[in-house]
Amino acid sequence: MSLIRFAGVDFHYGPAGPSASAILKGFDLEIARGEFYVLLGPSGCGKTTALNLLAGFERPNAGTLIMDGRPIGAPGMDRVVIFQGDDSLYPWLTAQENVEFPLRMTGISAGERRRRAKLWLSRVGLANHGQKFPHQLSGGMKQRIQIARALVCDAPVLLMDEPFGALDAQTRTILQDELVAICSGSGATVLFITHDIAEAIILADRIGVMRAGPGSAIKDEFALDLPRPRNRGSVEFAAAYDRIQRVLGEEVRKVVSREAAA
Amino acid sequence: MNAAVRQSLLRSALAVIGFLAIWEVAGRTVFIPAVLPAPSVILGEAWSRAASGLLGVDVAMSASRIIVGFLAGSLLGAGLGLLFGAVEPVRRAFEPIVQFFRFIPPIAWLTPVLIWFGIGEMGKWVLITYTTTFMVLLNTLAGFAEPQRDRMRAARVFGAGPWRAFWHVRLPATVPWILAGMRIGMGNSFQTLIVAEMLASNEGLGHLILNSRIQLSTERMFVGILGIAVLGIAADLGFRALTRRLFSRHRLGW
Ligand SMILES: Nc1ncnc2c1ncn2[C@@H]1O[C@H](COP(=O)(O)OP(=O)(O)O)[C@@H](O)[C@H]1O
Ligand SMILES: [Mg+2]
Repeated sequence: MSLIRFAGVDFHYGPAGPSASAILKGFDLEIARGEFYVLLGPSGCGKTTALNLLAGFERPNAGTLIMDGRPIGAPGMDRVVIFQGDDSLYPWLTAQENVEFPLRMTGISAGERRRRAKLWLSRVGLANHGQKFPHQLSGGMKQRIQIARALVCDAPVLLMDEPFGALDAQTRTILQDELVAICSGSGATVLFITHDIAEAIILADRIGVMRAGPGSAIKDEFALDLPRPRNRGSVEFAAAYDRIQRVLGEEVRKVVSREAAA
Repeated sequence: MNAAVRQSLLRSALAVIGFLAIWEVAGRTVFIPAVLPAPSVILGEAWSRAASGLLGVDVAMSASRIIVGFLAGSLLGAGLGLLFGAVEPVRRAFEPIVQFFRFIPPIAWLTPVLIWFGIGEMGKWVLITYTTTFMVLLNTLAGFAEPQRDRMRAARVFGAGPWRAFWHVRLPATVPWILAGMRIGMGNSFQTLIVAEMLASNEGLGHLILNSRIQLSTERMFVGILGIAVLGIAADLGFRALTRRLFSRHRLGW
């Protein structure tokens, strides 16, 4: 039984009509409980849109979107989002207070809030930076705050939208490895978006590659049963990279040639 | 204090001293005191006026008008701005009225205010309140125009309803805009104040300037003019220092 199920989901922005062009068309996706699912696709194909539907920020125009047997409703703590970029952090709160924010909204006592936020800050390597404001921290540290703020919620589902997209290659590698360590054995179900194949292979139980839009859906899926932590230099890694690159590369070429023609 | 800051302070001090020196020489040689009094003459006049207590009265009157009008205008502007920002239909309903009034400069209201409130304090408070209200209101609305999309979405994910999202996200995000509006409003209040005191007052720095012309005392006129500058700088420095302390979580840009 899958925990999350998109079935025949259509979505377009703005009002319906002949001019409304579908971002997603007949989008199907099933994610099992505890699975780490990575969505790959050329930029602009609709990855964020799919995540926003699951988060409840947008509603599908057609099709069904189900989690735990119930239709997806308003956003909530049962599926916590790690946003692309750092515009979701609260710049007037310290790192510690940002991590406490969800607990404060839930009405958890100040002492308990502080204890749990401290624990997660230290798990993401920010134990000594709790009193700093986001603008005093590097891009990688800001994403660690977001990760701590999401994980402190103990949510059954995590939705991550290119969380490491803006980071330099070294920092990204470190954070990927840390995410593997944190998530393995946590039991959380994860939908993770990226356009980086190597990142997908490091993290995923299963990878879905989306078609170039408009009217995108998942074109192909790859199950990865390599043991973790995965070695970026291994033969299996290279083979998986090659298989996925062939599928994704074709879609990226469509986008690039369309952009060149326009 | 680092070397760069020290050097720039030194340069500013040298520029001020140079400026005053040239003025002093010009005032003592080229111009007669009735046209351009030298700084030392102005300072002497300020000193004797301060000693007699007359300057203190004018400064206190001007300062009290600014403070009352500034505080009332800030409260009104921020209150209206937050109400408009929180309740979209209210903003839509009242925005045309705001846009209409914002093109009427405070001084245009001087005559009706005199008719309604007479020459007393209330009229000046009303004019300065009007000046400040619009700056704070418009700036607060500009703050609300910032989308804050991901911050609001995150708050919803974490279970905040509309009211708590407003209180915990919208309001703090708008604080720097409100304070910036207050700072601009304070600057504009001085213009309103001086014209109002010149045309409809028996005390205050504006009245001192106009009255000195009638009495042909140019150095006293300059005491009034420079007094405004000193009062304005002191008010701005005080405002910046106070808000930096009170709102240390926010990046105010000063
Ligand atoms: N709020 C919006 N209104 C209209 N079009 C949008 C909006 N957000 C995204 N789009 C369009 O939808 C398409 C898919 O966007 P998105 O889901 O962000 O792609 P991805 O995350 O895969 O890069 C893009 O063509 C984008 O321009
Ligand atoms: Mg995206």
